[in-house]
Amino acid sequence: MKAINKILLILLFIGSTAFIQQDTPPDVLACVEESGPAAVYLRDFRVELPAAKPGEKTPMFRKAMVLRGNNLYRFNFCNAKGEAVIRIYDSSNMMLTSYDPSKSKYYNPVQFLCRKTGPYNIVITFKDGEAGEAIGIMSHVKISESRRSAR
Amino acid sequence: MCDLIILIYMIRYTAFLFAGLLLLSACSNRPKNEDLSVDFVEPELDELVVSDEAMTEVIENIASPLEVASLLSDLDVPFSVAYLSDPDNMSSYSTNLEMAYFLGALSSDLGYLNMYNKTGTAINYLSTINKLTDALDIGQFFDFIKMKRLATSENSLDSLLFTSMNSFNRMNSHLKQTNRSNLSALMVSGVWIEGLYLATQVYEKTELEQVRDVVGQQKHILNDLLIILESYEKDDYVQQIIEGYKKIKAQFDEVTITYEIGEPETVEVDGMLMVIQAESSTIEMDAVTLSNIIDITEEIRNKHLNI
Repeated sequence: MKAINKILLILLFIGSTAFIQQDTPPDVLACVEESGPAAVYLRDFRVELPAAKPGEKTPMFRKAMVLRGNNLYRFNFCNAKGEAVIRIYDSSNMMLTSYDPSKSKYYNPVQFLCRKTGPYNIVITFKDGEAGEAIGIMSHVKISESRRSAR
Repeated sequence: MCDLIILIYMIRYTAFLFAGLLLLSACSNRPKNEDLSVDFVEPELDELVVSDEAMTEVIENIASPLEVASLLSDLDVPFSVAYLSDPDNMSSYSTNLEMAYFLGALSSDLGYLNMYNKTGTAINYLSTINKLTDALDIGQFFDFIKMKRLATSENSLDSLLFTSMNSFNRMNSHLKQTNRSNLSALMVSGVWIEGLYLATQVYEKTELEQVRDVVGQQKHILNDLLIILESYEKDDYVQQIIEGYKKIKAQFDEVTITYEIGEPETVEVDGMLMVIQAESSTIEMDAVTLSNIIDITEEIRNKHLNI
């Protein structure tokens, strides 16, 4: 009887937690605040990757996503560990990378002016294949406001 | 009993000590100048193509409650409450499938209202969305009290936009994670039809070229959406939605989208990198086709939303 009571209590606890309001994690909120002017939040990515092993492929986070033509998107990262690098591919080519090897420079945030509606692959890795943890924010940028704030 | 606990602790500590020694010896065996840098390996071409099978689970952002509204607001298109569905219509939905579809449509309306800072009207929508999320067991991701507070406060528009969009994302993810991808697909379908309706109605009033392009671009998105919906076609309600969307697709089949290939242009503005895609698309859609799309969208949207 005691065992049944315990099971009932556990089930009750699990059931009740399903209805507890689940707030947005504060680190996501903080990163949204860093997304800059004219940005309208669309989604966030939590990326945690292990270190790459020599001779093996760099661990990567991948998400297929529809991007719309004539829309300006911004991607910003808040790194807790390592430095996140984003690459955007269409079905055959790399469109964007936040790392410029010729200047050894990492850009954060980066913007992508999409001209063709369709599925794209968002690929995120960490600098030099190191282990890393980051929050990524994808925003829609109002082009007119972006121009105004750039003046 | 006490001896047994001490013994368990001793075994644990010995195991930790042993693991620590192993780790130290592994580190000391590594040559000092070993190159640990790893080159990024580009994904293979076939890895980049999103297959029809994978589409159902992996692709995101098929329809967004904010993107059409954000573009319209950016173009200074005047707001109109006439484009919105009726939140008081909830009583006409009885199944989870119907409610998920309605939730999607209302989420799109909420995005439009928030984007235009019409937060007073948004409260009716928030209230119905709250009831729908509770009915679908995803109420834990929709903080009605917080959203109502944000909607009635001044200078909290950014927070409201973020909170509503973030709630939508988390509800959608939760539906997928709890094996209710059919509800997620319907919710996204509701967002899409309401966004398309908004764009077509705005085009009819304004004849803005950018809005016409938004409408034309939906050809590809509709094809992807139909692939997703067809995974759940055994449900009668999903079948009804598919039939309606196929009528819209029949009109979009008359639209031709051509592409011009080009290398992306990279510019740096105030230290921020911006890449401009050079591969542009041209939408060929004659006036009759566009008019047919506007009419059929209104017909199907009103039928599915019981308007």
